[in-house]
Amino acid sequence: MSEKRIGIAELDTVTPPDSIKTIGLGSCVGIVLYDHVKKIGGMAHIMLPESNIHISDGIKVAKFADTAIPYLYKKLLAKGATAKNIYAKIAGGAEMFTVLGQNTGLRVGPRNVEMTKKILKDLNIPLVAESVGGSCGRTIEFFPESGVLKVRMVTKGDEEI
Amino acid sequence: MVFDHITQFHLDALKEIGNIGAGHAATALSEILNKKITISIPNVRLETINQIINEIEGPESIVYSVCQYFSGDINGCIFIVFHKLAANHFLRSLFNIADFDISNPKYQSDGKSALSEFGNILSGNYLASFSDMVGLRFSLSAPIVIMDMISTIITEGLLMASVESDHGLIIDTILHGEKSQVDSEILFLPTHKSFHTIFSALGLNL
Repeated sequence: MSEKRIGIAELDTVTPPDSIKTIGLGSCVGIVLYDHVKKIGGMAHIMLPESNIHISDGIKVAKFADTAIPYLYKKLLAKGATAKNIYAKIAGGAEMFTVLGQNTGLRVGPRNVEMTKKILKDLNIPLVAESVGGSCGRTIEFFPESGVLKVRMVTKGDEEI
Repeated sequence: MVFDHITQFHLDALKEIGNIGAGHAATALSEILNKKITISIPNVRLETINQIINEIEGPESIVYSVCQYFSGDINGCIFIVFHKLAANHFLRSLFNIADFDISNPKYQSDGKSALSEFGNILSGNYLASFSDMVGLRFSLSAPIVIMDMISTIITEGLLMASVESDHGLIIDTILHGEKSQVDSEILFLPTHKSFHTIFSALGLNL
């Protein structure tokens, strides 16, 4: 059993007995798509809501909610997952520096969560669990054998969703 | 991309900025604590965000970070980072309370406000020397103290510096106390646009 690791703006799929993990989610959103019958899962570490706003570095598909989620979904289907058995879990989307305040105005965290939910709705993927918002960072690890997503938060402790 | 034309010469100039800034911060710190403080050679990192995160030792370790924005001729943020142990060592000697523990609710508020004051002095000195050296003016926001995983704090800082780039540029200097337990780290993160301004002010065009 090995622990796969994805970085920011990356995605990958996972099957038992491996797990998949990403660290340091702040305003970013970590999403897991999972076929709970065939136990095929995938995770993306999403940085921004939409791909049409910033394309200066060349598009990285996993960077944006509106490109990452459909791409990960297709990847799962290509691996043999069944569309109607796929559900989603999400974590992240915090606002770490809100108290610093004023003109940061980007509100990236909440916008990432909003867009992620919208894309899931468009794709008819049920969102079964979430740990989002607040002002704390999160590290997440997904276990496709059990379907459990472990969420580690420094200020609130760990939870399994 | 902003960094396409950056050379070793540019990076060395940034290193010197870190060196002078941290020198002033260390002097201020040394005066408050009445202890000898030394500084590391600044580490100027220009890499992808994932490389920067992967190089962090103990990416999930918990730190206290005093975070401030600066805005004006240049924008960005500056973090003064204390690992939890270092924060406690420092606060013990400051308050002269042997069992001071910032995670103890009894001490938390005093601990955080001391760290924020202290971070403010360090970053203020760092940036004032930088401002004098390059002739750029900017103001510094009030400090806040965030306790979180080091990887999250650095990622968020890099995203604030540029939401569009996959790369980050950090100027990172460590302040060492007599015992390594009082180490703290200064992370200077101008926005990517601000690097143009900084290099022009130094007479080094990109």
